[in-house]
Amino acid sequence: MATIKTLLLATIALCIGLAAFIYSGAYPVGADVPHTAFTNWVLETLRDRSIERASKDIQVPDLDDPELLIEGGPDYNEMCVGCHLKPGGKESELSQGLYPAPPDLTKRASDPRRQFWAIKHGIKASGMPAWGPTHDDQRIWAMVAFLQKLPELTPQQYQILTARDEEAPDHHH
Amino acid sequence: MKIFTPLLIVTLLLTLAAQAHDPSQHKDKAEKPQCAALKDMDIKKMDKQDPVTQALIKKCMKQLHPEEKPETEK
Ligand code: HEC
Repeated sequence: MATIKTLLLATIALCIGLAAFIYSGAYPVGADVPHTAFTNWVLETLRDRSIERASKDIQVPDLDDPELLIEGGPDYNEMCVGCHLKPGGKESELSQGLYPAPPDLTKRASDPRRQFWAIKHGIKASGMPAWGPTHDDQRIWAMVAFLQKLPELTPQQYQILTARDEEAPDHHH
Repeated sequence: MKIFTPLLIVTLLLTLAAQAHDPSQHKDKAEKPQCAALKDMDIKKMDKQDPVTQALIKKCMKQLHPEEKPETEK
């Protein structure tokens, strides 16, 4: 009986302590103060497990269609390059200032399911917006197809694939 | 002065909303694909099965071979 009482008191004290910490304003919320290793581990594991679970049943279409690259390239260049960079480009203000930092997508491509999910739904409490409300799945897959090839593109190839050709009709929107 | 801050924020938000993505809005500042670079890449040595190569060639076809139009258009 005594142990239960002690446990209960300890739990209550912990809750009060936590509430006091939250209200005290002592938590450093600035993006220029990195998380502790533990917080980092919690957040990254939470993110990775959540995306893995939510995206496991997504059917990946054939991403080797050149049409998808032609469609996804200009979208990437107009909406994403400021945060996720391009071949031969420099770091940007956004890529340096955001925390968590946007991954440099010219370095490596993660699993297409993961990319599709992250683009469609965005990632909470990070700079990554959800593009699903404004772009259909087809258009998001085109960006995924482009991202899968992005790490191997030279700056010249990138320029050609991302320039929006005026003569080419754009079908999706 | 106090009234200006909310006003500024609303203006800012409206500006952002107006910038929502629509490909047709990007038409005027669109740059052309610099297909001259493709010549240096030596297309013959590139893998024709590679989707990147196919996309590059497709995108540059019009620029590099404008003469290849259907007979009727000549
Ligand atoms: C304002 C900056 C910003 C913009 C614009 C942005 N992103 Fe992101 N993106 C992020 C950040 C930050 C993350 C990392 C979030 C995290 O890990 O918590 C991220 C993560 C991602 C990931 C997940 C990478 C992985 O496998 O872990 C993908 C894919 C991605 N972004 C694609 C895109 C695409 C495509 C666009 C354009 C349509 C885009 N992003 C626009 C900031 C941005």
